[in-house]
This record gives sequence, C-alpha cells and structure tokens, in this order.
Amino acid sequence: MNDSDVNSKYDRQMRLWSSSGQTRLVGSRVCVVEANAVACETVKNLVLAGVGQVVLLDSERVSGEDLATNFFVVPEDTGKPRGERAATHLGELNPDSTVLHDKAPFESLLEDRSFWSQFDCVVNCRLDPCVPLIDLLWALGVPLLHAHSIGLYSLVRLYCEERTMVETHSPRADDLRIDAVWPELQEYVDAVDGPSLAEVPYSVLLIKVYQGFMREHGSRPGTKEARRRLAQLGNGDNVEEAIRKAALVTKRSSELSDKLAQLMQEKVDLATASPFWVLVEALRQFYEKHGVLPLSGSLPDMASNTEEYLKLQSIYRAKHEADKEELKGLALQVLAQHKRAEQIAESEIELFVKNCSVLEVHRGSKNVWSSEMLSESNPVLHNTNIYFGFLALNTFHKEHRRHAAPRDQSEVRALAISELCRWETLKSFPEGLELVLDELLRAEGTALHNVCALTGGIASQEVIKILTNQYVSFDNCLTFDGVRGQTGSWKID
Amino acid sequence: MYDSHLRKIFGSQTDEFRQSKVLMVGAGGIGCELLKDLLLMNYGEIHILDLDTIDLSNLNRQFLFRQKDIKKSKAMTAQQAVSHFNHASKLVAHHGNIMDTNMFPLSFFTQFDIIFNALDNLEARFFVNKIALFTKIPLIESGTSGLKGQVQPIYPYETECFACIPKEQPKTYPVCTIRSTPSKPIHCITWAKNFLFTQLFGDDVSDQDKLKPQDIESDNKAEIEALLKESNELLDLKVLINEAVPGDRSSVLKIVEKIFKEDIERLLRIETLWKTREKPEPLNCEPAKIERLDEQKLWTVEENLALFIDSTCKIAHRLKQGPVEFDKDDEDTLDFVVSAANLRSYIFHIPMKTKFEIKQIAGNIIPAVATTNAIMAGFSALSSIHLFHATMQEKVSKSKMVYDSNQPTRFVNTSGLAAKNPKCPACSVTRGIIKIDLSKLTIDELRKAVIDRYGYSDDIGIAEGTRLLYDYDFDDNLGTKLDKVCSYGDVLFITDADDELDSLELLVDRGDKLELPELEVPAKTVPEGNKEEEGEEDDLILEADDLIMEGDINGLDGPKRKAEDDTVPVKKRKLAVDEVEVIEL
Repeated sequence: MNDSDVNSKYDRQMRLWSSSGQTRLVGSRVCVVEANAVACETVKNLVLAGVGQVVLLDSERVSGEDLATNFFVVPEDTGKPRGERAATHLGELNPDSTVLHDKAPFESLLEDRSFWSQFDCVVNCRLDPCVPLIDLLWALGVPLLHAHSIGLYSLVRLYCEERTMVETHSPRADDLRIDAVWPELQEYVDAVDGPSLAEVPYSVLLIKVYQGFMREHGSRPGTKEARRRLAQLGNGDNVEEAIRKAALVTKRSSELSDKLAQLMQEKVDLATASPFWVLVEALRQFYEKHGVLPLSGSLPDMASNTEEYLKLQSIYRAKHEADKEELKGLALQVLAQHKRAEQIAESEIELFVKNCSVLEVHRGSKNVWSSEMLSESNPVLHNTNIYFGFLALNTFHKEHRRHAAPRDQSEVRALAISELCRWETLKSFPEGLELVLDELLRAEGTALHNVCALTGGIASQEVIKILTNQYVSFDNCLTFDGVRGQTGSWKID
Repeated sequence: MYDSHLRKIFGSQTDEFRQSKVLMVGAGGIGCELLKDLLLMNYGEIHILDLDTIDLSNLNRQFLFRQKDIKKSKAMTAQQAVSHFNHASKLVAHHGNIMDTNMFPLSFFTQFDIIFNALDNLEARFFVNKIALFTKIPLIESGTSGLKGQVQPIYPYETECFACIPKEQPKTYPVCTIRSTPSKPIHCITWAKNFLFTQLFGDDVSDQDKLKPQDIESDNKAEIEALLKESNELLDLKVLINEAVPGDRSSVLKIVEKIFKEDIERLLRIETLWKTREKPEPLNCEPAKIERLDEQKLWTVEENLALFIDSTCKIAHRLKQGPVEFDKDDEDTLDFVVSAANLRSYIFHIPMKTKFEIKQIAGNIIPAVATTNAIMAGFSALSSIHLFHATMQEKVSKSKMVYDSNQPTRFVNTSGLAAKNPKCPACSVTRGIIKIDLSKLTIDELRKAVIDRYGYSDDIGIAEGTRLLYDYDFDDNLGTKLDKVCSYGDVLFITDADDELDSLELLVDRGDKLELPELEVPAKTVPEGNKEEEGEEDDLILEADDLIMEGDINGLDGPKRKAEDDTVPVKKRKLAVDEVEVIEL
C-alpha cells in the first residue's frame, strides 16, 4: 500500500489522534500476557488500529472453553498451542501489524529485565495481578495494564508511575482575553467605532462594553449589564452573537483551574525531570510575571466581515507567537540553570502552549489495595467490591490451583475477611460484597464473551491513549458490572 | 454446543436465546462487533442486513473484512467471515436497503423477537424506530462517534423511543451566501460540492433543476440576473466537457476562466454587494507543476489550480463511461471539491483548508475507532438479556441506557430508561396495521370501514405521505381501487374532518380480507401555546456551552438527565451516531 492508501485506511481514527498519534502507534510494541478472550479482544483492537507489533505470551493449549468464549480460536485449533493459534488468527486482521507469540512460561520471565524492557506497554490478562511483574515494570518505567473478566464482572487497572499528558483533547474555553487586552489588540479595538462596529467579531464588542463599564464603575460588568449595553449597539449578527456570549465578560483571564494551579506547585527535580516538567516550570514563571497563561492563539468562528476577522486573527496569532517565544526562552533558561544540554523541539513547545490550560498529570501507585477504598463515602463502592472479589478469588486460586465454585462460598468469604484484615481494621463486612462474591462463584472462573469484548474494548482504548500519549486515561482502576450494566472507576493510592 | 458456560451464568435463559430470532440492521463498525457478540450468546437465528459495500476506510475497525473484500457486500461478507467459527446460530444475510418495502415488507419484520440497530444514518434509524412502533418489537439502538457512544433499549410505547428527543437538524445556508457572498470556508466547500460539481458533472439538469428567480432569497435584482446568467453559461460549458477529446485541456481552461474570473467580475459589478464586504479578486495565476501533494498540508493557490485542472480532466474522461457522483473516498471527486473550494476561498479572502480538513467537512466524516465500537456493541448485546424477563415492568426496570461520560468516576454513564415523551411525533401517535387486499377495495370502501370502526362522527381525510388520496374537497378518487394509489408497506394517514378525534396511522399489509387493527382513537387534544420560559441568566455563572470550544461535530442534544447514581450528575446527554452521512451541508 502506498502512503495515500495507508492514510485512507486509518482516516477515521486519524481524525481522533492525527498523523502524529498514528506514527506513534505504528512504532509501538505491546506485550499481552495470556491468550484468553479478554486478551484476544484487546489485541484485535490494537491490531486494527495499526499498532506495529504485539507479542502474545502464553503457554496453554486451546480448550473447549476457549472455543466457547474466544472468537479468535477455531475448532481445528483444539489441543494446539493457544498463543500461536490466536496470534495467527489475529495477525490476519491487518497486514501492517505483526502479531508474534512466545511460549515461554510466564513465571520464567519474571526476572528477565531485557524481555520486558522492549515493550512500550504490557497488558496482563491473568487473574493474578502479579506483584513481581508490577514491581519489575514499575522499575523499568513500562506502563502495565491488568485486565481480567469472570462471569458478568471485569476489571482494568493501570500501573504507571507518572503520566504527563499535553494533548488531552479536553474542552478548552475560548481564550479571548476580554479583560486582559494587550497593546496591539487595544489599538485595534480603539480604532473600531461608529459604522465599523457592525463589521467586527463579537469579542471586540465585548471588550468595548467591558472597558466602558470598567471606566465608569471601576468594577467588571455582570452578564445582564453587558447584555443591556450590547443591545444598544444595533442588531447585526455580531451583536446577537455578543449577546449570547455576554457571560464571557465575567470570565477572569487570570483564573487557573485547580488542577493547573496544583500542577504548577509540584516540586520536581529539574536537573533530571522530563521536558514536560521543564515546560511546566517555564509556564509557572510566565504566569507569575504576566498573571495570565500564554495565549493559545486560536479564535472561535465568529460572525464578522472576513477582512476584520482575519485582522483580529493575526493579532491573536502574533501574540501567541510572542508568548510562545517567551515561554521557550524561559524553558531554555531553566535547562541552562540545571546544566542540561538538551533542546526542546519547536513542535513540542507549540503543543504545550496550545494545551497549557488543560494539561493533566496522573501519578500512579503500585499498591493493589488502599484502605480508603471501602469507606462509606466511596461513590463507587459497589465497583470496589468487584475489584476486591477478584483479589479474593485470586488468593483462592493460588492456594487450590483451581477456580472457586459455589460450594466454596464459606471459604471464599473467610478468605475475603482475612484478606481485608491485612489491609485495615474491619468494623463490618462491606455492604454488598457477599452478593458480589456469590455472583463470581456462580461463574466458576468462566468468562463470558460479551463482557470480555467490552473489557477488551476498554483496555485497548487505554493502551492507545498511553501509546499515542493523547486523551486522558482513567486513573487508575475500573471495574465493569454486567449485572447493573455499569462501569465505575476510582483511584488506588 | 458449547453453552455450558452460558448456562452457568444465565441458567435456563440460555434456552430462550437459542429459540430467538434477531435482526441486526447494519454490518459496519458496531455491526461486525455485535454479530460476533450475538453469535457467542448463541442466538438461534441472526439476520444481517446492510445495503453497503466494503471500503478501504472501514478496515481500521470492521474486523470481519479484509483488503480482498473491498467493494463486496458487507452483509454477505460478514456472514461468510464468521462461518468458520463453530457457532450454532443460523445466519441469514440480506444485501439491501432496510427502507425498501418490496424487499422487506412488514411480514419480514414480524418474524423477529428483537431488532438491533447498528446504523450510520438518522433516516434509517427513524425508519426502524417506526417499524418497531408498528410491530411492538423491542429495539436496541446504538451509535458511536469517535470515543463517544450510546446504547438505548427501546420498548415501544413503554419507554422513550428514538424520536422522543428531537435530533439536531442539518444546517443550511442561503443561496446568496453560497453563490455570491461566501464568508467562511464551509460556504466555499458547499459551493464546490453541492453546486459546481452537480452543475458540471451531474445528470442532465432538467428545467426543474434550473435556478429560478424565486429560489434566490435576494431582492437585489442585479444579483439575481447575474446568478441566472452564470447558471446558463455553466450549462454550455457542461456540453463542452461532454464533447471534449481526452487530453484536451482547453475546455477545462475555459471553465477556469469562467468560474474563477468572469463570474467574479460580474459579481464585482454589482456594487451594492460590496458596500460592507471586502471585494473578491478574480483569480490571476498560472497552475504549478504538481506531483504528489501532502493532504495534511496547506497547498498554494497555484497547486490548487493545477489540481483543479487535473481532477476536472479526469472526471470529464470518466463521464464517458457513466455517471460520476461525489464520494469522499473517490480521490478525483474529492480533489475537485478541495481545489475548487480553496480557489474560491482564495478569491474571497477566506482562509484555505487542507485536503484532510475539507474531506471531513465535505464527506460528513465522523471519527471512528474499533475500541469504542467494541464497547458499545458489548453493551448492546448485553442489554438484550433483559428482554427475557417475565414482565414488562421487570424488563424496563432492569434495562439501562448507556452513554458516554465526562465524569472521572465513570467510564460510561448508565441511567434507567426514560418514559416516553407525550409530545413525541412518533410514539404519541395512534397507529396500527391494516390487513387488506388493495386490488379488491376502493378508497370509498376503505373510508367507510374506517369511519364505522373508529367512530369518526362525519368524514375523514386519507393521505399517503404528502399525497392526498381523499378529503371532502377532493373526492375524484373515491371509486378508484386502492392498488392504483398506494402499495403494501405504505403508511396511510387518517385525519378527522371535524377535528374531534386524533389522527391515526395505518400501515398497509397484505391480507385476504379487510382487517382493521383493534384500537381506540382518542379525542384530539388542543396543543398548548408555546410557553417557553426565558430563564433569567445568573450573572456569575457562565454557561458551559459558552466556554467549550472543542465540541462534538455532530452532537445531538438531549434533555438534561440524571445518571443512575445520585452522586454523578450529568449535564447534557449527547447522542453519537456512527458515521452519520445524511447530514447535508
């Protein structure tokens, strides 16, 4: 296929993460542990999206149960190595993607740093979250997802020390700077008067109204007052639009989201931190000096004479460029102060400035459990119970080498209690946990294809977010409850 | 069969899956996933219906299709692709349009226990919704757009139907904006795709299609005359194109001369148009030498001109083999629209766009990815288990509506099913199926039977679609046999001449003797005046919409709705639609 074919094949998804995201997917390697239904459904979505290479790690053979739950093995595969058969079928989905398999027993690889360090992301689809694997990948800095499903329940958990996200695609407010006009914009606004008022974008009208009110009253206008004054400017499209958007006069350009304010306060070692943190430090200095963030530079579509719109746009663009240069200078200073020789790519600075109001950082945890999870105030307590149920079943499975069944009810409940007591002093058995345990026992470790497909969809979506480093992932644990048809996610600290 | 695992989880319900017959409408992004999920639930019989063929841009998510399947029927290919799998379900594929009442009469639908919608356009969704209302078959509706999606189980007349919430209507632009005074890239793209392309390459433009003075919403006489002249000259050029010898660029150069220079000069002479607007500048440049152009980059005006000439020649050549229609996946037609739109933008001092961007706008492209489809198909298949509860009350209370979430604690939101909207244009209407032999009955006989059966006090009106068949002012057809004026699958609209009883919709189905449905036609309710309250704006609270820039391109606004958990308020529900293609610019 030539480039244009590749572009059309991935066209619909490149509209989500652009060619830069697609390039990262093509260059990525992902390891998936175990070739069960959740794993194969995850791999299917990665292969279709064009992830460069996937390695299926599995040492089992294809069984009747695989045939009933996993679409990617067929009756002729029965008794044959499962990883190899699944890899063959999944590899057929997309010639651009390579699906390999490895028959090495999982346990034998647990200390093999060179094996795991070749991957950009690992997905563990076994019941066991496997603490040694978590520790090893954490140390290597390789993001790990744990995904598993039994019956109508499933879980997906992300283990990653730190995720810094710039291209979050989060909704951004229009940054029009109604209350923070710079000299070039002021000059433009002052020149607009009389009949030319009918030809300019609404933001100019809002600035005029804002400044007029400030001069007269020394305070900012409210939405109602702004609307009243705008109504006196005539009845053009731009005035109508200004009236609809009048609430913007109350927006303070200096205001930061709590998240961003917190982010700028974070203490990191700038001598070793990633370029992201160097830029955050530069952003902090910029904000301290100017009281506003660098201008993102994009103007929304506004009713206006085309020429006036373009003039205004070039004023915003120029300011954006100037702010970007200043931020770049600050970043270079930070690097120099810490005797760092590296450069930060122009494109990276551009993306950072565009997205600086919606940056996102997640700090992960290695703990499989935290004591606050079962508190009454947890809004997704029911989903937390499911996670806990999986842990209890895993403990049972490790002890007995088989899946727990309804007849093991009392033992599993006892296990759950002793497990819980290891983490916290338990006042009472968490509400609803018994029902969740019974539901899990009913399935005796069996997976349901439907739930696996849904879970694979969620897991692969998170892997793609990690590989492209775009969009915000969940933070950091999620369970699906097929009885209630509900997902819930929360953070394990 | 391998259903021991299903039995562990669903018990005896497993047998009910086996005995059920389901219809899946659409074998695209969600459909491929859904088919796999339904097979592994062991449904007894699954019918796959799709009118579309496979395209390269489907392969990033429609996993049952391969490169070698391009141009083949989606429904047939999907059926074959899963045949290797050891499933127990009987599969039937239909390559056709769901709205084709000859191919899919009412009796086709009544064989199913459940209908799954996996569609990509609103028209077909509304159609299936209506079928579900006539037949009372539960419908599971689904859709995705990028990383968002929704699933809605519909129990006809019991819960909210697909039409209960008004959907956003496509945006249209006045003719003058498109033809004389564009100010945004979208105006130029609309001009290139809907006007120029059709005029130059469309089927012969009949008198009916010709631009008439009353179509132009302008009272500027000079402008109307200019536009009419422009159209007629274009028709002459069309003839030139049709007669051109391959490789002869002279006729194409004449087109360039006319549409990018002469027409603009003519507009410039109408000075009133440019009092408050910047004047356009007729094109004055030479085409560049082009080889490969990067679709993600902005091209120069010279490059656009070269591509315009090149693509026009190619399409003109292809016209000799048969008609050419605009298709976003047809490179020649897309190149034509991109270059024509950009040249026009340049002339009117409007920013040009990249091919990648114009493709999205001109092709109404909705982003799509395998992951979201997998998630929503999973929810859709799983929703069907609640249809097997014993009572309607249980079915409704256990079923959930699923839609995307922007809450940190929910990956997706779920809520209970809403009650039907009493003002819904679809499900608040009284309707039923009429069994009839159209060749035996006259309009008058039908009229009398309906009046008798439902107690209309005097007379009724009968219409099919927008076609009036009878009312007291129009009785010419009374003696006409029904098969002359309507066919099976049509919906007859009955109105009360005295405005006492509500109107009634009757779906015509084949039958030996006349059977009217058992129903009560309620008294007409007088519509209440529009009592829309204008809420007082709170000074300090900003409307979220004012502050959001990156919006859903195709969001269909629903009412405010509360999610299942009290702690998770949902501001607004947006419905996502898998690759909506119906919205015209």
